Amino acid sequence: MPVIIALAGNPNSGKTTLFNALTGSHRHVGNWPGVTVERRSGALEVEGRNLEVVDLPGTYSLSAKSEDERIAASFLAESQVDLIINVLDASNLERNLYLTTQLLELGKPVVFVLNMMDDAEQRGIQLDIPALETLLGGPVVPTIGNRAEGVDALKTELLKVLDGTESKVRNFPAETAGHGPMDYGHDIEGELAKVAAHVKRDEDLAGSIKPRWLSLQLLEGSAEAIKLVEGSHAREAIMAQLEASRTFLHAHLGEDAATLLAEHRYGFLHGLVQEVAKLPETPEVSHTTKLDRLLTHRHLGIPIFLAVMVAIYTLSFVIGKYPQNWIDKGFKILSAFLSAKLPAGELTSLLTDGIIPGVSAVIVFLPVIMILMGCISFLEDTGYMARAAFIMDRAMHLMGLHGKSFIPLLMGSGCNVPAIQAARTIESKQDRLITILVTPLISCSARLQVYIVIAGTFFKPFGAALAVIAMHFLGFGLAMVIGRILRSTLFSGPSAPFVMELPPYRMPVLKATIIHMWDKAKVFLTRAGTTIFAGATLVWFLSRYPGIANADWNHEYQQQRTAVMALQIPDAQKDERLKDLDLAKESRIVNHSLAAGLGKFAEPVMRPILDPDHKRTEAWKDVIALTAGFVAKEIVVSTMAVIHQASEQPGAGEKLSPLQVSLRDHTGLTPLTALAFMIFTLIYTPCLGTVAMIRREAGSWGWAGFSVAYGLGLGWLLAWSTVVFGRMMGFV
Amino acid sequence: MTQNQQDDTNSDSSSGTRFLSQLLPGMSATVVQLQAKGAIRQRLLEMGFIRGATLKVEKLAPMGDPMELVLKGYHLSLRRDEGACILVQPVTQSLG
Repeated sequence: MPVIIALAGNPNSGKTTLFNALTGSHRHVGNWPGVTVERRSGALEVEGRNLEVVDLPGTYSLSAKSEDERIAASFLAESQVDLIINVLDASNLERNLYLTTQLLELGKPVVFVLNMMDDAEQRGIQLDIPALETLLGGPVVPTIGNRAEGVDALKTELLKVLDGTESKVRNFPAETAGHGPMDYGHDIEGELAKVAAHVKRDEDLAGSIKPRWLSLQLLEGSAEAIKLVEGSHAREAIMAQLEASRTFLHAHLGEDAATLLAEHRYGFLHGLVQEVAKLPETPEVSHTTKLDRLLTHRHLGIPIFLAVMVAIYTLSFVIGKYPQNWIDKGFKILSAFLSAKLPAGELTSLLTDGIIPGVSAVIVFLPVIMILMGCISFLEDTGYMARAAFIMDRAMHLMGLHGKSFIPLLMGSGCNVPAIQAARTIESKQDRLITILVTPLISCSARLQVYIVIAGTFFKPFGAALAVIAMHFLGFGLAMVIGRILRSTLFSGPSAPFVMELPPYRMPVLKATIIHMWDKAKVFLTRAGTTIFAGATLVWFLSRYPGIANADWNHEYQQQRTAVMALQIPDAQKDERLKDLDLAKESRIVNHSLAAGLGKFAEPVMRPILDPDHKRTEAWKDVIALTAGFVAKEIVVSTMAVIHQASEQPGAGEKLSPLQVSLRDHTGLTPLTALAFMIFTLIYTPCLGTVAMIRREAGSWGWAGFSVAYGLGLGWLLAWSTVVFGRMMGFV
Repeated sequence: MTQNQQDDTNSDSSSGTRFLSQLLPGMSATVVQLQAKGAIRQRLLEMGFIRGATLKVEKLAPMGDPMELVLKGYHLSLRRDEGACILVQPVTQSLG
C-alpha cells in the first residue's frame, strides 16, 4: 500500500498547478465514483519512496453541502489518507484558512503550503512563517506554484512528517482531554463533548470517524453526518443530545450552531492573521482591480466579453476546421485505398464503410475538443472565466441557467460535443445538468449542412437564408424555454447560491493548459469514443444488411462492371459509368436494408410531418436518412444522396445538385414539409457523439436517454405544428 | 422585490440598517444579520459573511446584477436577491 497524500485547498489556490508540479507523467484522470467531478491522482517518488497524491476538488469548507465538498470531506475522513497537504493562497490567507480549521479536526498530519507567495509580496503582505507554524501546529512551506518554486522543500517536509521526524508537528491533546485544535469557547466545547460522548458509545461509529469531528458536523447540520449516525445503534441518544445541544446553544448564545461555529472560526482566524501577517499601510490598487476597471466595465465589459468569445469560437471552429478536414480526408483516402486494394465483400465493407468512418467520426472531434478545452482552461487559469460568468449571469439566470452556462451554449453552435464537455466549469450540479440537457438544442455546424441542402432546394435564395437563420434562433429560443421548464420541474430545488469568488488575475502556466487539453482528449477518446464507435458500426450494420451479403446482387454488379469495362468508350466516360454503377449498387443495398425496414415501420409515425396528404410513396426514405443522421447530423445529406441515387455535387454551371433536383422533383416533399424536416433535424435527437458526451458528463445513461427521448418528442411536436399551422395559413 | 425592501427600510430609518442589495457601488457596510437559510446561509458564512465583517460594494455587473463585493481582502460576486437576505449597517464615512 503506497502512502496516500490528499491535496486540499480552496478553489483558485493553485492546487492543481502544485499537483502538476509534484506528480510526473504517472497521472490518472477519471471521475470520483458515482459523480462527474474530476478525480486526479498521480505518483510521486521521493528518495525512492512511492507516494500517491490525490487532488481533491477545490472547496471553501468541508460542510458537505455541495457535491465537491461531500467528496472532499468523505475522502479526507477515510482512514487511508496518511497526510494532507493544505494549499493556501498567501495573498488571501484569512478565507483560505477557514477550511484549515476543519482540516485540523480530522486528526491527520497536515503540511501547509503557502502558495502564490509572489502575489502576496507584490501586494506588500509580509508573513511570519515561524509564527504561522506555531499557530497551525505544522510545517509551512512557501511556494510559487507557477514556477514550481518550493516544491523540493515541500517534498522534504512530506518525508519528515511521514517519518515522524518533523518537530513542528504539534500533537493535540488526546481526545479525552476534550479539546481539539481550535477552542470554540466554553459553551460550544461543552456541548461538543456531550454529543461526542454519545457517539463514543457506538465503537464502530467512533472507530470510523473522529467523534469530535462528527459532532462538529452534526452541530453544523451536515446531512452526510446525520446519514452516518442513522446506521448506528446509538442513533436515538445521539440525535436527542444533538437536539438538546442545539436548543441550548441557540437559547444561550442567540444564534444557531452553524453561525456560531463560523463566527468562532473567523474570530480565531482574524486574530491569527493579524499576528502573522503585516499588511501594507496604504494598500496599492492591485493590477486585478485595474484590469477589472476595463474587463467588467459597465459599457465595455460586454463588448470585450463578446470579442473574447468570437476569438475562441474562431480558434476552435474556424481554425480547428483545418485539422478536422485533414483527418476527414486522410481517413477517406485510406478507405478508398483499401476498398480498391481489398477484394469486394462484407469484410471490406465493414472495414471501409464501418470501422474506418467510425474511427474517423471519433478522431475528427479531437482538434476542436483540444482547442476549445485549451481556451477554456486558459480562461479559467487567468481568472477571466469568473468575470465572464459575472457579466453574463443576469441574462442566463432569466433562462434558468448560470452565468457560466453561456460558454457551453455559444460553443454549442459550433459543435455540441465539446460544448457539453465545457459545462464542466459549472460548479452547481443542477445548473450543469440543465445546461447539458439544453445544449443539444443549439443548432451546430453539422445541422447547418442539412439546412443548406434542403432550404436551397425548396426556397428562393432569400427565403432559404431566412429559413437557415430561423433554425438557429429557434434552437436558442427552445434552449431558453426548455431551460426554464427544467428549472421549474425536474430541478425545482433551491438553486445553488451564486456566491462566486472573483479571483485575482494570474498568468496561466502553459504546461497546465497543455496537460488539461491532453487530459480532456484522453477522456473523450476512452469514454465517449468507444460509444461513438460502437454506434457508428451499428448504423453501418443496419444500413448494409442483408443486401450486402446478397450473392445475386453482387454477381449482377460484377457482370455490369465487366460489361462497362469492355465498352469501347473514353476512360472518362467509363469512370462516370462505373461511379453510377457503384451508387446504384449502394442505393439498392440501403433501400433494402434493415434501416429501410425500420424506415417503413416508423413511416406512419412520421407521416403527419413528412407526408400529411399521404401522397408520397417514398417518405420512408427520409426516415432512413434521419436514422443514419443519428451518427452525425451531416450524414443525413450523404445518406439521402445514396438513397436517391443522386450526387451531392452540383454539375458544372448547375445551381442545384442532382440530389437537390431529385428531392424537388421526385420525392414529393413540399416547401412546408421540407421546413418541417429541417425543424425535425434540428431537434430530433442529439447526435451519437453528443449522446456519448451527455452520458459521460451527466454521469448516467438515464440522462442521455432522456435527452434522446425529449428531443424526439419535442422535434415531432414542433415539426407537426409547423405543418398543421402552415396548412391552416394556406402554405403547402 | 427590491422596491418593497426599500420601503421597509425607509420606514425603519432610525436603526440605519438595510439590505446589502440596496447598497450602491462604492459604499461600505458591516454585516448585521444573515436572513438566508439552508445551503445559501452555510455558503455565505464560510465565505466570511459573519456578524461584524466589513464589506464594500465594488461595482454592479454590466446588466445590473450580480454585484461585486470586497470582503476580507478578496473579491466575490453575489446575486442581488442573495444580497437581499443580508442585513447590513452602512459605514457612513464612505458615503461622502
